[in-house]
Amino acid sequence: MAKLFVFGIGGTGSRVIRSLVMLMAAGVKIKNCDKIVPIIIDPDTQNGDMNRTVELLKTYKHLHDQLGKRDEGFFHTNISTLSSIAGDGSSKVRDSFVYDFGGINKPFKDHVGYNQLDIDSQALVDLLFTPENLNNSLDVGFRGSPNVGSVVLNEIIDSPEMRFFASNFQAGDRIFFVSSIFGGTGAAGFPLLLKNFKDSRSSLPNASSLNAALTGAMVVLPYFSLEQPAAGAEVDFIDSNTFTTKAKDALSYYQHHLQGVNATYYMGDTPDKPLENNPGRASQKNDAHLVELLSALSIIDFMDYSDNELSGSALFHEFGLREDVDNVQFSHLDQETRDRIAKQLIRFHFFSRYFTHHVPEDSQAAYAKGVDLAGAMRNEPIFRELTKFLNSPDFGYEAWLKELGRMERTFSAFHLNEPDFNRMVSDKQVETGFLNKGISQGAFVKELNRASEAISDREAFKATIKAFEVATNNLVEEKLKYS
Amino acid sequence: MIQNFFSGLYELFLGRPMPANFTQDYREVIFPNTGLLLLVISLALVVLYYYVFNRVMSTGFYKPKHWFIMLILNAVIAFAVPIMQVNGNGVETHSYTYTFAFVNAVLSLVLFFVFSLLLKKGSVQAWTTPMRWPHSR
Repeated sequence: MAKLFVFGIGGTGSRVIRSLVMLMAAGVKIKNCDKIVPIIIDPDTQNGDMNRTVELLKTYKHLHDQLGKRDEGFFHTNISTLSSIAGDGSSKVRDSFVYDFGGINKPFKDHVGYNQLDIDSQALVDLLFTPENLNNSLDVGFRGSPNVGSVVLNEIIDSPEMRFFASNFQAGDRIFFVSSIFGGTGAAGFPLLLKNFKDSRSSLPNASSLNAALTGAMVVLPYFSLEQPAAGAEVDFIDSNTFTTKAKDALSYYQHHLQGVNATYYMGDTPDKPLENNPGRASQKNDAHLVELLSALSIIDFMDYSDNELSGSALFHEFGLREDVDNVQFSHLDQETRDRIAKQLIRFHFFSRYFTHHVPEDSQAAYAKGVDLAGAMRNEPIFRELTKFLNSPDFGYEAWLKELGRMERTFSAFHLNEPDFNRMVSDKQVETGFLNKGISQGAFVKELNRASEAISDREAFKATIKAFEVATNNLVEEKLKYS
Repeated sequence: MIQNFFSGLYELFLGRPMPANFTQDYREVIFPNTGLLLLVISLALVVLYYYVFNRVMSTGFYKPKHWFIMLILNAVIAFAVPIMQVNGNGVETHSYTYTFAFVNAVLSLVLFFVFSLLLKKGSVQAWTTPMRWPHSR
């Protein structure tokens, strides 16, 4: 069955994949493939955005693997590292979601052998690159400089990872790129990888399959700005005033030179309050942004199209909200988008909240006692993984939601400080009365017990997740009556 | 047969009914009536707990403390029934009556527990109450 290779290039690529993982955890269906292979490309090995996405991917994979193959439900989408797609342990590449740059930690100048060049070539290099470009160390990425990125990234096409990718690429597999157009790594990496994959004279294995592969791309236009350092301050920073100019230049290049993308998605927003200016390393850990969540939807949309629909003329998509509002709720999304994610996210949110705050009190309830859930939660590592996924302050689901609520344009589909399930969803509340408590803890236990009656699994983790899938579905359909 | 069974059961714990002139009333009427009521009421309360409260109605009374309350309620009823039977059949009240009531209450605890074990599997909300054993589902 087909695979989808998602190349997340640069910091934006990592952040969009983070949102994609949250959607997959909630059970949002990705059609026409049975495995997602995320490949993060970022030379900044210490990048905070990248590292927390990698931790999230690893945790997701543990949870998915424990639950096994299923067609729907929380964590049902299968993800795999590049090295494990061969499935026979024959891989020579590192088992990681991240492309291994092998620790390039020298200045760009040394990387291209500037000092060994003759004087004419040096002059040409000086024309194309600023002194900062030449002197900056590459281990923090390309600091928003695509001219540097395009040189360094050109080398990865001959790497063992890319050859392994190509040799395991099969007809029917698809490729999707996620990158920003205004940065360094993403803006350089996307066209470069695309060019190499679609090159009919490519020396990569399976070149014909790669050439013919259905390919999509999410091009993220500027959506944030960065603080400018004080005048005269000698600090290392990315100048976000150049984002728009760089985006326009890159769009112009794409218009004339980008061949072989079957569906291109564009997304952007007016930048709001500037973010802290951290050009790289661990300090580059930006809060999650609505644009990244919406960008992740492009992958789901791309996979919704059948092979035939994508094989025709190239498709171009832009995203729009129903209203230009600061606090985006599900009702502000188009019906198609809402249908894809709203119920799943509500169910997952209910699950996360109930699991975190109420399950420990339910040790006597049949659904919990039947599988000794209290003991399993104390002793089984998989429950620690689940708690990490939901509540890690660094990369967890709750932290992600909180971050999405901190921007000027927020994702406010849930009232995050609301403990009452009846009032948790912003655009739909449950009417309660003397005899109708709505979605109370008692109602939850009742549904969980009912659900667990039909579950034959004796393994506490599987049984609990399945019970929550059924219970949250019934509560959303019958009590919340969300549509 | 029922008469013999219940008379034998109660007299096993209580000895010959007292006062002696009411022995036959106990053996022919009070023991069988009390025994049958013990069976029917215990079964009814177990069914009420597992199938009405915790299957049809899903009241949320699934915790062991709720089961324990039903157990005690059954014991209180089981204590009251012999006294009512004695009084209702014109039999003189004696310390034997209260010992009989006490034994009946203790038997009700055993019966309630046994019926619970036999019937709890059919409950959706409380099949693990008061404990999961012997089912694993």
